[in-house]
Amino acid sequence: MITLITGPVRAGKSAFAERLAIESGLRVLYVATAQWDPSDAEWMARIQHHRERRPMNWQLLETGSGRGIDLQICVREAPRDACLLVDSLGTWLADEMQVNAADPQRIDARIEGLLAAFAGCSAEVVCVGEETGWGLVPEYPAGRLFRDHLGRLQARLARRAGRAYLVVSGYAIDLKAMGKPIS
Amino acid sequence: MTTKGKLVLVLGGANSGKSEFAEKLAATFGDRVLFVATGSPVDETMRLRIAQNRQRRPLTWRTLETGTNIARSLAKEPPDEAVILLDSLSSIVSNLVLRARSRDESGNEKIDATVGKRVAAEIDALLKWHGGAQKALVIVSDEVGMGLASPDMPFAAEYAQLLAAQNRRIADEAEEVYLMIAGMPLDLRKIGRSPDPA
Repeated sequence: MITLITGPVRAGKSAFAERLAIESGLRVLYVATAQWDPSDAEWMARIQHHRERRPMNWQLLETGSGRGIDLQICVREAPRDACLLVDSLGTWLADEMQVNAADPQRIDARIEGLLAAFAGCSAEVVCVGEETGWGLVPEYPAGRLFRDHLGRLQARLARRAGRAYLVVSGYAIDLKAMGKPIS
Repeated sequence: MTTKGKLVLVLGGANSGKSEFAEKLAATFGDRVLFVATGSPVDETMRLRIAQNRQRRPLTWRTLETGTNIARSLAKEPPDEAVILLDSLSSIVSNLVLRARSRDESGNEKIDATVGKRVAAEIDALLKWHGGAQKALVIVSDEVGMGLASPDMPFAAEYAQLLAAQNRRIADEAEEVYLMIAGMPLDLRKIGRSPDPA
């Protein structure tokens, strides 16, 4: 089963995802999608904070460009008896958009590929996303493209997911229980 | 039902109906409410909104205007009112962030590294005051973490992070937490599951 967890920044999404992964009772494969940026002290501190919070026995997979494994492969190859925790779709997409900046069609293909991998995945999946479309329309094209891609990707994943939560300021709202699918 | 010492958070986006809902809620806690206005009228739109919000409030309500150091103002002249409505936490954080901005020698905008501590200290003091005051406190705040930060707005991302951390902190301590969407309050305590095991 896929569980999607979305919400605004610093709302408690990752902590909730980690809790669900523990509750699954399965061994956890943790997929970190964040790109390393040693020049950004604040970002590195956040990565470190996440790392310290995670149990020692979780296997860490990193997908950051140039360093890691393809997220699609992690999802496709994850074994049935494991819980795959992906944190997060937004950082994965930002990375993909940076790598494929010159080739927008390639980004579409990468998103389709990821969704196909999720569709065929036999592992338990807990996937963290981000809500980025509730503010004003960004003035810069890359921002508009990013939030359109991410919004659509998450909506499609949420429909396929068995559980979907919106986490706001420390509270997880069960969207499948409260919401009505629009199609 | 006693509302003494009660803490309520009303979160939401711009113009989602936060202030109006918070006012209605505060009125159910007592007839006399001290309204703590924290917004600075930086432009004409803001002035109009402040005036409009003021007209909506009952005449029996008193208004305290203070941009920061809320706890100090409240401690200096302890209010008689049993209910305090603070509108808003987000403008307090914004006031502190704006004040921490300056320019370096080359004219680039920079932000004082201690701004996070100042914001935390402001809210520490407020919660401490509330802990001792036996008043109902209703706090209005913006949820700004669901949009992308504009690269043209200096320190927008810092502001969003600082505010989110304080919203979260108040939400953790509050008895009631509401998320406003298009004028509809969602009761997060009722419908949400707390991500951290209690």
